[in-house]
Amino acid sequence: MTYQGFEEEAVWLEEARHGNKQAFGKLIEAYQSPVFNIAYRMLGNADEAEQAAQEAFIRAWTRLDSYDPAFKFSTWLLSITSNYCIDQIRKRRAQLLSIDEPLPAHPALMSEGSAGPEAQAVSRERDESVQLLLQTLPPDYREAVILRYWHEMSYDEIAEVMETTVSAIKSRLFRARRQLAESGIEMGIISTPAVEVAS
Amino acid sequence: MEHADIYTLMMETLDGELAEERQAEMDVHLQSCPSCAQEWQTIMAVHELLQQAPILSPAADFTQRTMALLPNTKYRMYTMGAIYGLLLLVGFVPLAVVVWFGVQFIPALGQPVLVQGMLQAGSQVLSLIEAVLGAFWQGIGNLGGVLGQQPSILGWLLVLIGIVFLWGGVYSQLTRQQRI
Repeated sequence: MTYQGFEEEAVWLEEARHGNKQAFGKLIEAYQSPVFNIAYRMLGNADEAEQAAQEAFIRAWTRLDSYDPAFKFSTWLLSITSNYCIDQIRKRRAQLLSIDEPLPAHPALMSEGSAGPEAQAVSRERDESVQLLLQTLPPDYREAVILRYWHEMSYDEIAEVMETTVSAIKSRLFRARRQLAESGIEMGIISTPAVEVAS
Repeated sequence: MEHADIYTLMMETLDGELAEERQAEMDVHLQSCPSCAQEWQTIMAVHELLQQAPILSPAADFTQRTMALLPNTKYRMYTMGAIYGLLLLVGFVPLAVVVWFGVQFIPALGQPVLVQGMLQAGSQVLSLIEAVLGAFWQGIGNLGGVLGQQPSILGWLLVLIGIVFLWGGVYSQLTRQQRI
């Protein structure tokens, strides 16, 4: 976000704190994709993700007084979202979809306007693979991977969102990547590489 | 080089944090160690797969639908204010009505002697509260004196406070997901 963007955001936040819904609407507009994306990647289902994203914005709206402007708004908002998603995952654990069942694809992947049908199919298949792999991770590993890959956060920022230390984040990412690699091979998403070793 | 060190270098490479000289070190190891080379290629495949997955957006009318769900905070504030005001009135109105009826229909209650007696009783209640608060304040002062003579009591108090904070921290970690 540019400096001007931050200034605009600060104005919207100030107005939203005084109960201005239109100003908060600007914040929703600005952050709907990151919030929805983290919810979708965490929950693996577009409908639940949308509900989670709405709930996250409602919580942010009703708790704006507790937001500390010393921190980035996006960090605070994503923290609310991911905590809500982890709660949802825990609640539904017993009913969690089996990883053998195909997950419903996100509508955005079904209608990539510029891509042809073949490219769409490849994209959809790739995204389904990603979702299947993510579902094999424990929620806190999944959260770290999502923040790192889709939100390009630094270790410090991820640690801030997840309320933990940088070394814990490094460890989670390390274990998550190894676990994803193992699951990828087991599920046939990634082929076992043939390695040539220099003699 | 140990495998564990190589894993660290792999992760730093993926996160773009590996220095060039260490990159060469890793390359040399990967060329001579088939298991690490295999691990690296698998992890790289996952890394690339994740990097290609797009950021998704919700439906076009998401903002409007979410805004429609936002509770009206100003309305809520005014409503709560009105409820508290009403509760206050509910407490005072019956009292005022009883007093008014008493003065109107029981002439004895309007006698100056009785009013004076009631005022005296009120003043005695205030004196009593003052005495209790004074004793409490004096007690705190005495506690300071005792602590000065018996520093171990202070030590135990600090330990007690420490335990309370420790458990506060544990509780806060346990309920982290519910707080936000």
